[in-house]
Amino acid sequence: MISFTTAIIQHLTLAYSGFLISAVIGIGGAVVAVRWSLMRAILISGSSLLQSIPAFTIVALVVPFLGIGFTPAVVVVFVTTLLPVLRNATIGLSSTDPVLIDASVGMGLSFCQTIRFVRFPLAIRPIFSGLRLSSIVANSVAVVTVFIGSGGLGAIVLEGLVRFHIPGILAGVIPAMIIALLADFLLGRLEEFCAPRFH
Amino acid sequence: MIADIIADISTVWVKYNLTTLTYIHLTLFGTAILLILIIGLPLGIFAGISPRGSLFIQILNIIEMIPDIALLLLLIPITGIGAAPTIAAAVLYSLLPVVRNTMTGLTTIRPELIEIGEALGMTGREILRIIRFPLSLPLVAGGIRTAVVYSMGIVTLGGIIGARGLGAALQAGITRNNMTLILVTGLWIGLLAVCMDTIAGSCERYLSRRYGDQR
Repeated sequence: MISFTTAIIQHLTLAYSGFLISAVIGIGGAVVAVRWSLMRAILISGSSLLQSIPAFTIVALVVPFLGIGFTPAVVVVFVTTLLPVLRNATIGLSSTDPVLIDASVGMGLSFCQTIRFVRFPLAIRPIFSGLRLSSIVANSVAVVTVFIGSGGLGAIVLEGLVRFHIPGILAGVIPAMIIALLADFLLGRLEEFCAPRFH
Repeated sequence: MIADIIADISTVWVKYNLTTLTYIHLTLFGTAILLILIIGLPLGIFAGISPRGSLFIQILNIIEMIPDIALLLLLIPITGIGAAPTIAAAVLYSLLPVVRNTMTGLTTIRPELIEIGEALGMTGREILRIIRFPLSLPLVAGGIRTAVVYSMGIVTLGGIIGARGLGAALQAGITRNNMTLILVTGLWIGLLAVCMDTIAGSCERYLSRRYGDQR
């Protein structure tokens, strides 16, 4: 039996450390994918294929390779949240109007500068829709990874499930739900803050 | 070496009765998809033709923000454990992509096409049946493809609340520390999911070739 506060802290650490790693790697990977078109084709078709694999399968498949515990659980959260971020960021960054890219190259912007000043601001919406989807997935996966011993809110849920104690199940599920809604709200605010304003 | 692996796989397959579990898994999945089509398409058409359609989408958007496992477990007090909450959660969760895509498909038809229909003397109902619905089919199929992926995920998750799909075998593998069982079941579910997605994807491509609006 773990205390409620510990459970929430563990849940947040688990879900959002995995989420942050995949946000950084996903957006970085998308920038690389914009540079090399072969990589982009592989990423987009590969990620749509892998995205169809259920999360619980990935939770289980990580056990033979990494064992059980907190670290494998972070790896699972990372793997399952990476695909939506990577896919949306790649599509967003590579679907900028080529006329705008030509214009900025004509003004003497380097590749990095076109990413920074042209492609990125125009891709804020798709990137954030990927991040918001990922944050929901991260919460859900963080609960499921209790089966490989990650602790957190999932531990409360599992205890409720094993004893078939419905208030116990709800005590684990409702905080997870509130965290997901809150995270989505915060990401929405951040999106409005980052979105370019055209005067 | 390869013979050993095949022997291992077949032992696990027979011992944990994976054929029956696959059958149950696909039955749950099929029921969920059927219900999604029966409920989602009329709702989508209704949302497309009624002015208050976006209200529906708002409600479904909120359901979509709940993590899938939370939705599954929240249904336990209402429906008990087993197949019922699994199918209900899969249906609720997958409604949004189907309803939203149907609605978007119906409302983003080029206005010229609808004017042509009116000029030919079609009634509103005929325009819906002959022009708007066929032209929205590629988008509808895209929504159904997303629903297929979501449902597969939730049916697998249903294994932990006693829905007896392949998820149950995965959970057994984790709790008994049986690596062969985990690998065999995990790769098998992955393969099934990718196949379902590919089938849905080729339907989508066929429909956009057949009914897509090529200007």
